[in-house]
Amino acid sequence: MDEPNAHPWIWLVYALLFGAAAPWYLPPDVAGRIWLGFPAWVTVSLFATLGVALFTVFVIGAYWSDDSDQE
Amino acid sequence: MTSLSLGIGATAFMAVYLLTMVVMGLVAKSRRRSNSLSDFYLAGRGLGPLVLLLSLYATQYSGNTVVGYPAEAWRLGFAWIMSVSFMMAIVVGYLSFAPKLRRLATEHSFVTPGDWVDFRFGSSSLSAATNLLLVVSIANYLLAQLMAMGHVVAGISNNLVPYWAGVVVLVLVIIVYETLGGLRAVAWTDVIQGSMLLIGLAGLLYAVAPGPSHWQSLTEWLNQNAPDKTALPGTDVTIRWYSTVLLIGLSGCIYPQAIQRIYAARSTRALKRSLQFMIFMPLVTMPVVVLVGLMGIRRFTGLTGVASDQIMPMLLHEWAQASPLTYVMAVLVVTGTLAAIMSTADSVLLSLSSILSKDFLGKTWLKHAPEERLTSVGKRISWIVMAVLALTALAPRFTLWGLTELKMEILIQASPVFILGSIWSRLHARPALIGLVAGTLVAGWLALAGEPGVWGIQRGLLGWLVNVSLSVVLSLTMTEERTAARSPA
Repeated sequence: MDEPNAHPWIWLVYALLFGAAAPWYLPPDVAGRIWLGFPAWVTVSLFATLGVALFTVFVIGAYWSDDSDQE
Repeated sequence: MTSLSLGIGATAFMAVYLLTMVVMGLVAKSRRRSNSLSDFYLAGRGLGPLVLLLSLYATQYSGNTVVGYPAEAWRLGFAWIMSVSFMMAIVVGYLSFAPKLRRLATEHSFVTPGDWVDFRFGSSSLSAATNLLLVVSIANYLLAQLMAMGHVVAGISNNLVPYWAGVVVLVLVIIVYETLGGLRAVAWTDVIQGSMLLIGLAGLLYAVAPGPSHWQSLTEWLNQNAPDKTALPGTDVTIRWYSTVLLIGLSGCIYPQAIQRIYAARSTRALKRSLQFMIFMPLVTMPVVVLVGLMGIRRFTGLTGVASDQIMPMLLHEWAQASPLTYVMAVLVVTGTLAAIMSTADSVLLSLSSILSKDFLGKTWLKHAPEERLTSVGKRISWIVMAVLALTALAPRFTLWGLTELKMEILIQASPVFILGSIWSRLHARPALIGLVAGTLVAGWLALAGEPGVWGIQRGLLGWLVNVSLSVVLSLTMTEERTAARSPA
């Protein structure tokens, strides 16, 4: 049976995406800029979490097998 | 809570809503197939993807999401967008153990979270300690929901229905539909309650800031008048951000009511499909809540001494008087809030009853009792638990209100048993028990000392680090126990 725990790289990608959601790495001069109505760093954070969501859809679909189901 | 004065319209809407809940309990009862534990507590393991999704959503997002989180955004500014990350972390947390747990639960007919602990470790002490942690943390959580229900009802009715009556009436409604239909009733009512919460949030977004031009105007205003609310988070906020993601992600996914929904899914495919949608719910929910809190900064800037948790009641009060359309929205938001509180309370109560009847009484006084007897005892336990907690909620000076903050910090100490236990076959019972006790003591000691954490890392997470370190090191060094423990594979 396949599951996400059998693929350590999946957790590395999650660490990177969750890591990117907190904008500590952005330069200080980004502070006053506005993107899509929000402070630029907030928009970056929302895109990182959107990345987490899309990646999760992929992981569940591709790496969680359901062949043991007794339906 | 500030008086909302929503009047007769809101009261009538509320009455229809409560009546619908009871009718759903009756319908759920008529669909009962047997009096077994799995039929009552797991809806006969028959929940489809849509019911699972809305049930997980309504259960995970409580009244605190709608009332407490805007207050956090008011205090912290845009940095509270971290709530999207930590609510998503709960769903990602499931992926670390749910695939294996789901398979084993189907093969071995698990009903409670404790069934996994028994199966994996074969240690009655570890099972008892884990169950105790789960019961303490969710009983606390349930008490908080009951108190919130009383406050919301008193606020809506302008104290026409006093706090105590709100608690008593809603407790009765919940206990009636829950004991009638078990998880089937709870999940079906969750569908309505989750939908109401979503409609309420849509109403909020429409009323507060429906599009990018409104968001832009709010951000520009904050840039000029409250620049600290739009500033790039500093090191302290960043540490809190990551620490909260770990704390909530590792504890939220092992809520007993969440684990039981893993067992209750009709199929693994249904569970997977519901989680594929559930992962987007933080993106739908939290930005709206953050915007409400930030809007409160602009709207109530002239006022002084405004308690931040009054933002939502104050906004609702304004809308109720502005126009018929915004009045309807205010009513939807308030009933959505109440629905969020009730849907969390009913699920927590059901899990509490299953753990107390099956894992505590079923292993002691009722050791050889048939399942039907445990189910009927469980229903009586639900009434007793609700009576005790309702009485506690009615006498706030005796409450453990402060302890509700400790809920996640206690709960996270049980996570190695579920997550590490499912990943790592060398984790043994005694090291896991020592780690769990040590982690709980560290978190509890820091709480008693009044320390929120160290270097911005929450005390629960510090306790968890001690917990995991001891569990791993002792599992590697202690002589393997002669227990009935099984490999998680």
